[in-house]
Amino acid sequence: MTLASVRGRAVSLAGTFAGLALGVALIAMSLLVYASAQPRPPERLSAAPVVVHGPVLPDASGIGDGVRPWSADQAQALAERLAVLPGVAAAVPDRSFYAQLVVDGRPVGDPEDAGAGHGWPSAALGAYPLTKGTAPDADGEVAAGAATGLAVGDRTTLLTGGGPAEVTVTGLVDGPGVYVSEQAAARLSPGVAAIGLLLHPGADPVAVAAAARAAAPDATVSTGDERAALEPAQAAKTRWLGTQLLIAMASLAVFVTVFVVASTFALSTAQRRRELGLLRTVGATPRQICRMVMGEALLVGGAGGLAGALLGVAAAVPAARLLADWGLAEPGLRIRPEPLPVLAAVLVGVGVALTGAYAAARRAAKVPPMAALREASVEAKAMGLGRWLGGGGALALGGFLAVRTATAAAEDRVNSALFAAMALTAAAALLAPVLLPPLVRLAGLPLRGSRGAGAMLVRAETLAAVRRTAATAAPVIATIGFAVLLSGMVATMREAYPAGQAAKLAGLTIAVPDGMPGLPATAVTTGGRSVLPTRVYAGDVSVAAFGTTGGPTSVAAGTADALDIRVGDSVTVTFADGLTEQLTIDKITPDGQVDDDLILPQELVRQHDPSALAPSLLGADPTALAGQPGVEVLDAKAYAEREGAEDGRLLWLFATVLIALSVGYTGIAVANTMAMSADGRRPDLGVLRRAGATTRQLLRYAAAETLLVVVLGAGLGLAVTVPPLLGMAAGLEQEVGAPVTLRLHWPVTTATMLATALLAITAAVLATRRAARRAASG
Amino acid sequence: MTITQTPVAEAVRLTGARRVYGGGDQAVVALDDLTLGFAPGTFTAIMGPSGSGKSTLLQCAAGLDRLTAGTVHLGGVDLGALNEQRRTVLRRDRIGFVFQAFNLVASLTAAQNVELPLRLAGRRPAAAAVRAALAEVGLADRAGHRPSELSGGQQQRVAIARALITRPEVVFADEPTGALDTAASREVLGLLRAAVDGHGQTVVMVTHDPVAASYADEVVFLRDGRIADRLGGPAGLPGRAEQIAALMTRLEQR
Ligand SMILES: Nc1ncnc2c1ncn2[C@@H]1O[C@H](COP(=O)(O)OP(=O)(O)OP(=O)(O)O)[C@@H](O)[C@H]1O
Ligand SMILES: [Mg+2]
Repeated sequence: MTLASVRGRAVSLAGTFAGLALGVALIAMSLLVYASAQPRPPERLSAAPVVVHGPVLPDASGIGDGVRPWSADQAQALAERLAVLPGVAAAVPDRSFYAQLVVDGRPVGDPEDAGAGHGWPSAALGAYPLTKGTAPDADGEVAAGAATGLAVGDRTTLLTGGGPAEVTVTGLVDGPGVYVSEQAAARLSPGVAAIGLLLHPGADPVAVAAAARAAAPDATVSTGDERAALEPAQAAKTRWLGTQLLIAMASLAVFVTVFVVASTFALSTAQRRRELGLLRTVGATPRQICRMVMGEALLVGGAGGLAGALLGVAAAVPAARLLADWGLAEPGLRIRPEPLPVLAAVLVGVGVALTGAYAAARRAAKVPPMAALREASVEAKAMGLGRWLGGGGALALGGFLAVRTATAAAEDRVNSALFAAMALTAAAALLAPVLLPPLVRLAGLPLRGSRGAGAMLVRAETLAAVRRTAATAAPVIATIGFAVLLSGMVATMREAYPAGQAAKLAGLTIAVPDGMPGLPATAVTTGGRSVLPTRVYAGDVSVAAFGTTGGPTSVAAGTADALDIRVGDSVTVTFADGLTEQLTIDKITPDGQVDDDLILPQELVRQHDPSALAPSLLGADPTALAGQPGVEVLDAKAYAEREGAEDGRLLWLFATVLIALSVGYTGIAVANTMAMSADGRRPDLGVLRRAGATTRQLLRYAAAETLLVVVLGAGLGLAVTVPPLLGMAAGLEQEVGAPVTLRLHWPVTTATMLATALLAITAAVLATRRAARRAASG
Repeated sequence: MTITQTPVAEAVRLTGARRVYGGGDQAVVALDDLTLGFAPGTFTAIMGPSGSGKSTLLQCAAGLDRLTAGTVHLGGVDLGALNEQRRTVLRRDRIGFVFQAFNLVASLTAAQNVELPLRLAGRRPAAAAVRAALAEVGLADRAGHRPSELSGGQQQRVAIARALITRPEVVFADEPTGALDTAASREVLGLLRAAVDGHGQTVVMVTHDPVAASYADEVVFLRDGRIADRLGGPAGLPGRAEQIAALMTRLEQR
């Protein structure tokens, strides 16, 4: 029976199917990319099947884990013990630090990479061969990648945390990275996080790993994919960014799919009242009707899910490439064909279809048998108890989330606003039957005196079938809502951050790195204020720390909790060089106020992390910095804009992807509901035609009615975005300490409105023309 | 000597039936304290002016609608005491229904429409039984056609085949011939008559047409939700069409 009823309503279900397929495709794609983007063993360690390293400690903020390093002496002793194990050819302490070569006056290589430098022995861990010359063996010698274009014997400048130094290229290596002598590496990075084991041919990595565990009981021994724990911090950050986008995409897909399914099923139930009533008179029980509608949802959900899974798998490869191009995934990201994410997406799709259809099924079950007997099906009560409760609940939740947006931590703010908007959109859709009639009456006021039948018909049609009107307005609310929200969010943030920065730094000159990840010691010591980030390890967590001059030693509340410390306590921290210090905590700061978890004296950072780089230098002296390669001096405004540019680029990227996604998506629903609505009114159209309406008039009425619905939906859509955006502006004002006003992005907003109206009217007119032809012929 | 008539167990009985639509100033009393029974194996026609409560009577008697006051008994079961689920199951097992129009599910074929009540009851319809039911109404060759491909009279006959396939005790029909021409009407009425004579089923039919009413054993006239008059009944044969028409005219003029 369900099958037959699905077949009979192919037109109305096509939209649901398309929406579901798209939703599942997005979820499958996001999950696949996410699963494939999990940490991989660094290429650099490919020739070391077994790696012995310090404990992997989680970061309190969840962005990246850290491997606690050993001191040089500890590492040396451990390496000596490991080197004599059976099967081990060599145990190589591996060091990574900031190093960049200058070619033609400019630093070369990835400007974000603060770990490209290694001691020469590390080249063996990746089996990178020396193609020309000799290995660096003393200070002032360096082996460079062949890709730099340097030749053996060239004199050039090497940039490290200490500053620029003149070096000679003694060898060329076939692989990435900059290699210095072992002694030089030990000075630039005294600490050692990992010791790679090179094995004799034929040695069994598993046996060696077992022996290594016995020889170094305090260390962690990783083989195969476990070596992913040693991926560079930059890769973790990139993945974290990409994951944020994937999460936003997947949750938006789930929400929008529920929304599309719910509104199309609600509409089709409203339109099938007579048929459902007939089934009831013939003896279908309410439960059977409910099951029939849910069965339809299951069938459409299953079919849409399967189609979506195929689509999602196909889309994952280009999506991964796109993410890599945008800097949100590692360039080499390869999609692994894993069945679990795809299966999960299909299940989510089916679940979403059932969730979306549930309210409609309940309502369908309540259609009385009498509905079959009425000439024209007049709707029952527009608002049931469930709808009041659901709408009220969503409204309260949305309000709460909007308020929370104002107080949320910076990184949670965008998602909080997004969830607030979702809840408010659901509230507007659920409460539309109450909200729309007064609005329709208001919109009709200026037309009251008009002579034609148009105004009267449009007004009567929208008011008589409030639920149908609500169902057609729902996707419009969502479309406009998301476009306005996302573009408004970005517009507000893009203005707030630079304005706040510029206000704070007014009058200062600021030195920033140009083509390198940070400023070296020689630049920082020319005068001015700077901060020095490093990573330290305390208890069982890895902590992002920040060296400042003259401030109290303070720790963020979340980290203080994780370490169980209070003001006045002293805590033992391990630095990048593997040595420990006792720090006394003077202050605990609320979470989200500063980016870093621990603030400590800058001398300590310098002393223990010779490769630490300062992101900027406030109050810089331009003349003193003149000779330094890769340093640029800016005024406050230019600096604020430069700083905001990368964040702004990412924000726009996120917003563009999400807007395109939600608008393209709800566009399907808009076209679908409009077409369904026109199709379901074939009998009325027949009556109107027989009463003397020309086809042209019918099309005009349909267009006018659709326009009215779009205008009302757009109004509500705009309204639901205001609370989250206000919350966001309030939160930003707190954070940046400068007045922030709510901004809408008018080009995106108006373009979305026009596109929605055009799409809706086209769909309605085409469907009406078809329905009118059929009504005339039969 | 008095002959005490043993009360015939009635297929359907309404007692003190009252149905009020709306409330306040706009309240409409569609059935006004009406008591009426239909004996098993009889064909009753309900007539009366427009708005006299005929459809309401039928819907309440069939359990499609609830009474404001009073009771409906179907084969001895009080419909008012059942919940929606049990009422539906009872209706499915014991009642068939034919309306004036919109009888068929548009997406299903004639045969699928006929087997619908069986499927809803969770029984697998025997293809032969469905074919026989369609053959009985003269549509054996139209089994695979959808309602939009059938004439009004043919649709009506499919509806009757569906109402009869479960062999229900009572068949209610609300102006089943209202949209049909004379020839098609005669076929439909013949089918209903045959259900009473051939299978001992009870038929209650609302009609405006005196000729249609003349197929019944008894004619009940309603006015303002009350019984205004009766013709025929267990004791006598139905009046002829002219007689019925004359009574109708009188009722409408009063
Ligand atoms: N759903 C309803 N709401 C309000 N009033 C109703 C409703 N249905 C019927 N009525 C009113 O109840 C009265 C009886 O209606 P009913 O449909 O039973 O009449 P009828 O005898 O079948 O008329 P007709 O011959 O025109 O079909 C009428 O006055 C009608 O207006
Ligand atoms: Mg009637």
